[in-house]
Amino acid sequence: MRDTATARIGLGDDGVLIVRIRDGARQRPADAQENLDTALAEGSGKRRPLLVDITGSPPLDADTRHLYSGQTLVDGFTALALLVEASPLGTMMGNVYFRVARPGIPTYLFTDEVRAVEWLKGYLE
Amino acid sequence: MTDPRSELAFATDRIRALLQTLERLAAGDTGTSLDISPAHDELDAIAFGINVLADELRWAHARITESERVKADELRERALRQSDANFATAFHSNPCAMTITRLSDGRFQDVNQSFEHQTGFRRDEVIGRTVEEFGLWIDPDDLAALTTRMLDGGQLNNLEVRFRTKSGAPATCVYSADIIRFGGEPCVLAVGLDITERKHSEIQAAKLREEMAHLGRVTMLDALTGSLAHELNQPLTAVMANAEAALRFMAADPPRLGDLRETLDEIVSANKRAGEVVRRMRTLLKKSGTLYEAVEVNGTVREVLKLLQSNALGRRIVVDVELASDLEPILGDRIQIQQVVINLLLNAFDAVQDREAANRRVCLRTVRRDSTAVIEVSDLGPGLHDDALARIFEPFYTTKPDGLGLGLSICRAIVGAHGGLLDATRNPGTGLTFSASFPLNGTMTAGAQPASRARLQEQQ
Repeated sequence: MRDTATARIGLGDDGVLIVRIRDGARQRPADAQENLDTALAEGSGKRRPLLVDITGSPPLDADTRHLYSGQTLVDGFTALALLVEASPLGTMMGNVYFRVARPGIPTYLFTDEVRAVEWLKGYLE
Repeated sequence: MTDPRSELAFATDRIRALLQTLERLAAGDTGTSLDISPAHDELDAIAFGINVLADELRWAHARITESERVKADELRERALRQSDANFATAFHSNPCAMTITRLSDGRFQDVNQSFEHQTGFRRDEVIGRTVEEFGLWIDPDDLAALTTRMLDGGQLNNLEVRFRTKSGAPATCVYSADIIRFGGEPCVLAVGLDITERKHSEIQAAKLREEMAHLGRVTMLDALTGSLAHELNQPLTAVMANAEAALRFMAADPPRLGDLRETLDEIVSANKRAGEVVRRMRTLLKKSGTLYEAVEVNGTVREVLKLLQSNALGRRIVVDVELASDLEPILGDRIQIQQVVINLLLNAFDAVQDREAANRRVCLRTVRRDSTAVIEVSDLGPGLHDDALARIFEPFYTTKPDGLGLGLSICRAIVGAHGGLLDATRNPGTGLTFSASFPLNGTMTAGAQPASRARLQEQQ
């Protein structure tokens, strides 16, 4: 388990990487890069499925959103599950991320972490 | 318990805020942003969507702007590289010598092949050195003057300068310079056109012209012999008469010393007059280099009239003289200008001498016309046909049975070398008018230079 300025990152026994954004942590592009780099390091350089928990995260700015959907994501991870708040806003945030960012790997929006991890397990290499 | 009416009013405010933000967005204001309420409800979702939309538009706009800036920078960079390449081509392949020297210390930054060819100095010999270090310029004053002008941020155009090649041979070039930025520093870009050969040819042409002018004066001697004899005859007769009288005064008893002194004074005076006649003639016939100085036109014309007075009298020709009162001096060679006037007057005398008494008139006139001083000689002779008039200035063309046909062509060459023009026109009634116009601002053609410069070049 590793901590960054805006997230706690760890590799589960099931082989799924989890990035949990701290409540109220406002992320800048540098934070996003740090989180991705840390997740990659935590995964020992192997491509793994990734769960990002943004239930406590305020909305991201455009640069940060684009960084989260860039080449690092495609190169380092097999799939992305976005865990959002079970509210109209949370759903909108997740949908916006997918619609605007269009990540280059399979992605899915979840409000339930267990279901999210289950889905991600299908992308273990 | 929440009041449904206040909840509705709150919702209405939020919807109104959403609509206003959308309107601003539609108007291009991407800086807009909506607050997200703690409710995280549908309206917050819409607000978030609008915020993202604004954010994405801003982001895309920034990317486009950045992309355009990069593209513009690339284009500018490419244009600059192309411009540098064009300059390098123009610089190194230019047939004129070109140099780039740093303005601050005068050190050469670059020279082209033509410079190497013209001066004999190799590029690697001069780069990093100053012009003083290898004594390129013959006249240090030229270098000092141009350095001052360039440091003042000036520009030089077609300055004639003399330089010395590596072998020590003097050469002349027309030098132009301007300030450019080279390697991030202000530098002097200079262009020198080698005119050494042209200069040499001009000097040869000027010498030839002087020889021809002298030849022309010598050939006039024949026509002036009668005048000379007449001019000398008067003072010599006076000397003789006074000498005889002096002998008588001495033989008287007692000698009439008062009368003797007076008579001797008259002899001296007559002798001076004769001497003046001889001096004028010798000056005219003297073979000397061209000497440009300020020449007073009317004074020069009067000198000529003194020389030709008896010639006109002998041929019973009336010379009307009209001299302008507003003529400034011109820059020229006095003897050569006299030669032109004598030639024109003698031609005019020849033209009218066989005419009836009423037409045996010649008019000599000086006049200021625009920025020129004009000397005009008009005669009432028979004039010339068109063919003859068209060819009158051709060398060896003459209408006189005993003429050489050189006088007028030499005169035209002399006037031309002064930057002027000699022309002939038919008078409305009869006869011709020759007009020699000289620039009042002292403009001269190539090869004709002020006295000081000519002397300097002879020394070198």
